[in-house]
Amino acid sequence: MASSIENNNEKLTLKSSDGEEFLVEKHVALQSTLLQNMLDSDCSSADVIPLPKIDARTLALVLGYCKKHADASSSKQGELNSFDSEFLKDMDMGALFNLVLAANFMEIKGLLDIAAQKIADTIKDKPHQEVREIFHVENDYTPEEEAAVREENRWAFEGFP
Amino acid sequence: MPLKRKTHNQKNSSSHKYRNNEAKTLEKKEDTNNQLQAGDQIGIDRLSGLPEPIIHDILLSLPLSDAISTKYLSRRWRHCIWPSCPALDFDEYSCPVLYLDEYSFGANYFQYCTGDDENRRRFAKFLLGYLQKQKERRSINHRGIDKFGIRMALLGEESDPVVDGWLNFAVKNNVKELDLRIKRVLYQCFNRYWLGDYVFACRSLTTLHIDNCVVPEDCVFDLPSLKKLTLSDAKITEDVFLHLIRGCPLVEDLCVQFCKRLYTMEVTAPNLKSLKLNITDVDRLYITDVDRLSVRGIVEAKVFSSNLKSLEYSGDVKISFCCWDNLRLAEVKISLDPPMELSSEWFFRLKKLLKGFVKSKVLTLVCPSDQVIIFPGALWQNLLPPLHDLKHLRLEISTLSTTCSAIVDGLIWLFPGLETLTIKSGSINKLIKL
Repeated sequence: MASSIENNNEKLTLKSSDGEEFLVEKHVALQSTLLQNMLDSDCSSADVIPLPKIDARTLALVLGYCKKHADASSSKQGELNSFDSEFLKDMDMGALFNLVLAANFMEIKGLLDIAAQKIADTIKDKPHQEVREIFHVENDYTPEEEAAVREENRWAFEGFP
Repeated sequence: MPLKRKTHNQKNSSSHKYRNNEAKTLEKKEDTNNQLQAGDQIGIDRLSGLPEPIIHDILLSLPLSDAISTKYLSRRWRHCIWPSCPALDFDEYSCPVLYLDEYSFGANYFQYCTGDDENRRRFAKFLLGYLQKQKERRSINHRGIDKFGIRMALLGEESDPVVDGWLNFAVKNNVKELDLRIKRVLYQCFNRYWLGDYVFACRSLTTLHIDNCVVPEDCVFDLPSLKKLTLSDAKITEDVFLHLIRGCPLVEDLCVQFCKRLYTMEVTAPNLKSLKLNITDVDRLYITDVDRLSVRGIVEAKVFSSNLKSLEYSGDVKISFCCWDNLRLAEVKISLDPPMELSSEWFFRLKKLLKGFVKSKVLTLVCPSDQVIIFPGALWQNLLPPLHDLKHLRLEISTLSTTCSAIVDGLIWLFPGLETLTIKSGSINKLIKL
């Protein structure tokens, strides 16, 4: 462990929006396409890479995900899958949205996919009124409009007995 | 400078350690404050506020019925978000827009019944109207269509322009994935739907699945991005197939099944990783023996590739299979489709077929019974020489009628170089090291 710290190229520092610094091994950081591109284009000369859109709590979660995926070999896909499903289990909506935005910003495709899937699973098989409540989507339809939207589905039947 | 960095990093690492502990306590605190946090966010619609690519990811992860229902949420969802949905997948059976009652379903694609005629007409009309709306709305935002799928049976030719229109629209919107399952019913079933030339000139296409349609002749095949191609019961001739494959230089994954008029197929694909051929005769029960010969499908397959990782074949042992790939990296799976009576001809042909795959990493044979692959002792002399190269053999046997050691005895003379033999049958999963 000590020897890897001595090797400057193996670690980099990320700074969250609320000013916390995280020391990350390079191979873990490479899970993020954003960081990968920064390292490739040699932006890494800066000591600290600021991530102004991501708070410390979210960044800790993101890095936990990256570490697991960077360290696991591809042969352990099953283990990773169960890690992924455990990872988002019981996560509150606020944290999930922070995470999906962070994954999108840092371009971590795997994390983005599972987080988007988790949001989709919350929407799935629910009437739209319930979805509205869960996500606080404001119903800006007038009652007439809402009826018209429903009617829109019916127009296909026109002209048939 | 390096020294300075080192100390800096070490400092960070210790602060990180500290941070970790702090984070834990912080998280605990936040967990207890969860309600407060949720309370902070009441009234904030974070879903609608997500960047469009994430919303599209979410829509892509939803079944179409739920994706369509999002337009009830608010004006923004109806007018901006839903019309830009990058996936359009229409299935006459489950298309929710037609069946307001959640317990009713649409027409059955697999089995025709007259009662479905009206549903089919409605579905075609819905598709037509919906295409108009899409054309109006898509022009506002220029995002393309990632996936377009359609599964429907056409009553006659009158609905063809609707399907043509959609396909044309999808291609113009740089579609990446096309899933086309279009057939005709009743007496029309021999007059299959012809795919337009434009489908095969769609340069953005990465995945193409064709079921039941006709692949046109005299068409230019230019699919430079295509990675995955599936032809299932498609009407395609040998020449057209050859040109199609030539037009897909990057194809990695190829599946050809039940294409009855494709007798010889030649695949030259340097990037090919996975090949699946299935010529099991699904219609065997309905066709007289005389016809069978002429509708059976591929009798000769030639494959030129160098990276094959997976090869699967189901069907008759009569196929002549030539593979110009050393198969060292390939896992080969052959599902045998034996005749009722096993003759010596069966075993001669089986050996000839297996000979082509002995260099593979692992060879798996799927067979209905062990009798199919135990070569009778009387034939050994005539079946020489043995196949020395095969090292790993797996057998998946539906009905096991003898002992594992009898199977080993029946096979080891043919594969003297065998290192492992795995026998799987029901709950039995036995690995034998030889």
